[in-house]
Amino acid sequence: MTISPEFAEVLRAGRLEFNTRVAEARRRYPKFDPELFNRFLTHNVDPIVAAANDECRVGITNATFDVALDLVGRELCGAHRRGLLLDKLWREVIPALTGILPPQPAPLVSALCNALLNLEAQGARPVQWLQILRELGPLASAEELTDIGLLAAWRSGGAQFRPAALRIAAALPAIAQAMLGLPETPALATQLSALESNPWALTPADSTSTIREIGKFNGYGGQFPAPPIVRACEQGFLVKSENRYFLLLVDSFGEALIPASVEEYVAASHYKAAVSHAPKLYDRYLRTPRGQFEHNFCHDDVQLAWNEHSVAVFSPYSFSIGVVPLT
Amino acid sequence: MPFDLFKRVSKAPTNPKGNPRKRNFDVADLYQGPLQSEFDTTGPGVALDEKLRQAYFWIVNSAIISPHYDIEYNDTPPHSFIVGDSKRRLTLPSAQSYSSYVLLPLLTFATRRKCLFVGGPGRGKTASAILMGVLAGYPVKEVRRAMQHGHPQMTIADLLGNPLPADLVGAQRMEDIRIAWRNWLGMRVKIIDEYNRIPTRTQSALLTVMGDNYAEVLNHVYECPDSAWYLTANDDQGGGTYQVIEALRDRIDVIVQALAFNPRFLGDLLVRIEEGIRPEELVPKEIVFSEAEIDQINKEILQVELPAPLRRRLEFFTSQFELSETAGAQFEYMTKDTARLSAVDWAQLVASDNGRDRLKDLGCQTLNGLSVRNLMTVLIYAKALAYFRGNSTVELEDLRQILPFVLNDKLRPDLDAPFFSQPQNAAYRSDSISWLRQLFDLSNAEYERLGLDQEDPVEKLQQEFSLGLESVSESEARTRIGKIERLVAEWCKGRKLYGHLYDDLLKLKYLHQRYTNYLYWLRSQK
Repeated sequence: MTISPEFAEVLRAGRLEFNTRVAEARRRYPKFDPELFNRFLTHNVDPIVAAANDECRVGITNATFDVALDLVGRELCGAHRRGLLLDKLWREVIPALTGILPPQPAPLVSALCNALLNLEAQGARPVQWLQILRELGPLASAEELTDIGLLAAWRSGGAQFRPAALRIAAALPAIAQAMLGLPETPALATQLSALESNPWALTPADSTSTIREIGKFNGYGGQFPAPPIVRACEQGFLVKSENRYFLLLVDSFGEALIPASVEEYVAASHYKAAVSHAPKLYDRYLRTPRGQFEHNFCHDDVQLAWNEHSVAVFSPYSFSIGVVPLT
Repeated sequence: MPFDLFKRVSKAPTNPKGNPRKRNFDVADLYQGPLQSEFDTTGPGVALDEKLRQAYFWIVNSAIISPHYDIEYNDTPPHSFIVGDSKRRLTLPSAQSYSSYVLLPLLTFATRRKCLFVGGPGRGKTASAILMGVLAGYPVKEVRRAMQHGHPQMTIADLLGNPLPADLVGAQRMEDIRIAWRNWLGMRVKIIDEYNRIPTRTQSALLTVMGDNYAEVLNHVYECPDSAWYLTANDDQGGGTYQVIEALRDRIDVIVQALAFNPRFLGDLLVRIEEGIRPEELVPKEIVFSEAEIDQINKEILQVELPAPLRRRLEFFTSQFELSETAGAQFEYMTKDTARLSAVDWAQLVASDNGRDRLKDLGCQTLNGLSVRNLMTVLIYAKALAYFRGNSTVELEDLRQILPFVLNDKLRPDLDAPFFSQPQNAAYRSDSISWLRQLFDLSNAEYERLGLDQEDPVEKLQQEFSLGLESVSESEARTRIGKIERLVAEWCKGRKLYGHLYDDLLKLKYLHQRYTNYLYWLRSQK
């Protein structure tokens, strides 16, 4: 496969400079793979350069060339899951954004790569994030793009971004409405206020009414070295697994398991949720004011922890935590 | 975009603690990652201890090739291995450990003290000192120009400044002679390269600047700002062209040795040669400290707590060394200092001291005791190390790690002592850092054997006294005096005199005297 004439022209003009950068990268990264870098340039960088207008082409080539060197040098590219996601970003999303990229786009392109890798590592839905960004990104300005990316990250399962995303939604109402699928009425401010007070206030079309299972044994690529013990707290749940501690945040769109400290876990022992209807377990079912949820935890010693909005089910015989809405 | 091979500062917390963390996830949390982006900026909110650690990690990762983690910390028992015919122990620390060659100069920078680099030529002593100047915000060129190079012809005028020639001819009074002071005197980082090549007379002028922080030429005084000092010498024995005057040596707070270069890191050197890189020219702006920041760090370091039990261990350690039973006839004069001032033959003095177990007594390993200045330096550096590690309290390990670097060349070994003639201790003759650390370990072991954490009668009496003498009745004062006398009698009965006992007895005498004076005063009121 050959590269586009536009890209070839820029590379030819700066041949010496580009070769020097590759030589530097080879020194910096002992595992730098020139073959892989060539493929990345051909398949991923070329479509972006080709899509750029004449004035920006050299700047965009310089920026994407350097980011590509970094990605290949850090072994983030290739046929593995992260590499395939990055391919998708570079082939489908960034070319769509060339019209709004700033004159020095390297920091923005790097930030988008970082965000994708973060969402993948956190177990969110990076493919959905890419899709939202491809559809709604070109409608924004370069300054708004990172805000839209954060809103999309929340929509794609990054529950920790909910407070920041709600602030952004208030500032970008049209995009927020389209991204979150909010109805025309009532007013957006009312809907956002409801979302702020209750993490389960939205029921997205792609959500299921079954119990949501979070975490698994770290021997199988999960997060927990031992069956987790859960304590409720105002924000979500604090989880202890052997000597590791986590903060579990859950909402309509997804969940996030974030490292926490033993002090936070201890502090959560004083928390007591003010709820009128406590959740109850009946055989294989968990009943809350929101409905009845079937769980598959072992009957013996199954335990519950709840805050004002969510209930967590856990057991000494399981490495997972089940979470359902309470209100 | 040029590659910043040497200019990246650690983004992650350099010594993460289990403290509650911020929970306001925001845009930067999403966009920070392995690739450099606009969200990587350190920002103004970085705590100064974190900034200090960032500076340390930048230096060890990008500037100075010093892969020697000789300041070891462990949070779980470390893996250790016995190696070689001499059965030396190689330890793989289980917690974040540090290279003294980088850490000690950095702590000196933060506390504005004085650090001496020793080691063979070409080991990067001067380059390290220059780096510290750049951390203080000075351009590399300025730091280089301000560096004083010791040489045998160096005069006081070379060091401090010259009177203006026109004034020298025309002036009627000394006050009329203006002095062209040397620029380095006003800098916050002062570097004296090869200080042991400075002639003795000029060393005395340097002593005034180092000790009293001012320079004097023809009755004119230049007040210097508080500054960190870095001196280099090719060996720590005062060799070179001139003998270093003892007072000047004593002003040096810590001595760090440039350890040998590990040829396994030759590749890193090659990159620097090929790229023409000089790390001191690439110091990231995020780790440059302003004067106000250094002031603030100093304040924060002084706020670090040194717990009383730890202070007691340092007291116990210090008390081991000053006693010389045969040096004085009166109890207070039985010190090594008395012997030294009298210039009596040391070997003769030691030979007449036959009462104690000279292997067990730590005091027998040294030629001198510790000065007040040494102790103050130990306390400040221990606090600085705890601060650097992100702690608000000094730990025993902080004290154990810092103490050898402060006492190196201060607490001098008596190489004729029986301890050093034992085959297993032979290495301590040349490795003073390990010897001093071993000395502190032995002192701690003895402290624990005596159970002084649980039962320390002198401390109890001191605490009682610290409550004040107001409203202490005559009978109560007499009771306390009786208690002291009984304790002294008990301790003097058939016991050998060791350093810690000597200091305890002197402390009891002090308390006895204070109560006696108080009794006199009480009687005079009747």
